[in-house]
Amino acid sequence: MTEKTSFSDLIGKISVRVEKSDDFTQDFIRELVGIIETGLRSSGSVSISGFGKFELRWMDERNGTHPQTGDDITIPAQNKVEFKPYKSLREYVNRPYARMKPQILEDTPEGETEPGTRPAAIPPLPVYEGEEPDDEERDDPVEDDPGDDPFQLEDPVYTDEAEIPGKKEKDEAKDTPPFPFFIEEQDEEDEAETLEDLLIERPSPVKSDVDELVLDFDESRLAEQVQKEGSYKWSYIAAAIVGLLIVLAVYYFLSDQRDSEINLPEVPEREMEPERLIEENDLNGIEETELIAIIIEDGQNLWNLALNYFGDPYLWPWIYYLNSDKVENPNLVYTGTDLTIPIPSDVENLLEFELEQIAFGYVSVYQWYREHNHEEARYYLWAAGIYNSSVFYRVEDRVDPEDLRFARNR
Amino acid sequence: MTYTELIDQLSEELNLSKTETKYLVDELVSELTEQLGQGYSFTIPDLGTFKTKIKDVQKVYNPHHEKFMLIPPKRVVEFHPGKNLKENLKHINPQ
Repeated sequence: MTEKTSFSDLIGKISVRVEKSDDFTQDFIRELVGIIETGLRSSGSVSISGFGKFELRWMDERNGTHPQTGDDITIPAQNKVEFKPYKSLREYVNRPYARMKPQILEDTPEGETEPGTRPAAIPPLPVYEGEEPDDEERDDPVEDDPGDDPFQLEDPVYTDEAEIPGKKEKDEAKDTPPFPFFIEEQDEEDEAETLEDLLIERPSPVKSDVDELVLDFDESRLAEQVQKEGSYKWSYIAAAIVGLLIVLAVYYFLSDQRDSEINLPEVPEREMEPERLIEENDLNGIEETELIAIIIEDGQNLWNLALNYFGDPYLWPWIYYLNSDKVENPNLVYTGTDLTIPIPSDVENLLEFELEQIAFGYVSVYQWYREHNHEEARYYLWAAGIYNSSVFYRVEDRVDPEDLRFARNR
Repeated sequence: MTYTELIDQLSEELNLSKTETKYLVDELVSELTEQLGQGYSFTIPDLGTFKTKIKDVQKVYNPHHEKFMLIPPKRVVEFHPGKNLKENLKHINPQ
């Protein structure tokens, strides 16, 4: 995710690593930065083994537009500092995605009609097989495969192959589908694993109760509904008060007309206004996230929907949670399904109840994985706690105690 | 400037042996790599900010096979030079 490690934390971590004082590390980094700068100044490039290469690149004078005013401006020639990560860093960072392979699109009408054109003209259009509608009817390994896949992504890296029963089967299944490209939600999983280095899997399959899960979500929906109804009630009350005030105003107006006091009706009006304002604030502040309805198109999945709508792909369980009646397998959404997508007002600062929904989304993903006996399920439970830690108390009785302990202590 | 030159200079500045300096730099690099690998971003004062970014799926045309291809998503490292560094080096002309 996009969390930031502060410089002092970084210093602390490095100090522990090299068993030096924080001051020493800070001096050391300052010197290093100084040398990088002089190196760039004198030779135009500095390479650090195992990390990357800092380089100066000369940019010729060029035309551009001012980002704010939109005016045409001339950008003067200048040096640009670039960093090119070396292979080891690139591979380490890309590890969660390393197993995905490019996929050749066999039937691309655009490709045939304009064989000579360069790709620049064609907008990127992600397509994933697992979600294409024809898979729905076929009842073949393709459909199951996406569920298994993420674990394959990591297995060879972290776990002993012998430990995983059915590993061979999975590998075969993986070879059978014609498409080498897998669904992206899995990366969530990988991400979780990268966090735990040298992990050894300990299978602890306990079936969770589906009915309970369903019940739970009905409950929480019910709670939401009640809240909503509550707010509607408030609006009725407010409307009633406003109506009453108007009636009073009219009454006063009529009764005092003889005295030709026209000011009176304005008084109650002024009283009305603040009341309305409060009303609106309440509605905005409590539990309304704007929802929009979309229809799944070819190539969309929850991961890239979350990326497109929230800018944070890790919020995809939120969509899963809000559409749990339509989407069963979190890895598989069919083209043409209507989904409800929340549009939070501020993704950076999600509201309490939004975080709660995301947390419950993770819990339901956890439960799906647990049901299908994926050992990685517990990472989803752990992720739920990141969004709302109180969620653990609320699902305590429905999750595997071992997983809960893992999620809490991680 | 090569890695060895960097180590030489740094060991001089810090009055440390080259082995010691190399060890320190390597440890620093592995910590930074780990941070980036876990998806964290960080800023080193006077140098700049390092972060990772997920590149979305791309559809590209392969002229050799005359076919379109999907390039899977990728997580890449991004570096934004700090203001001081950028300004200091803007107009110099390295040989």
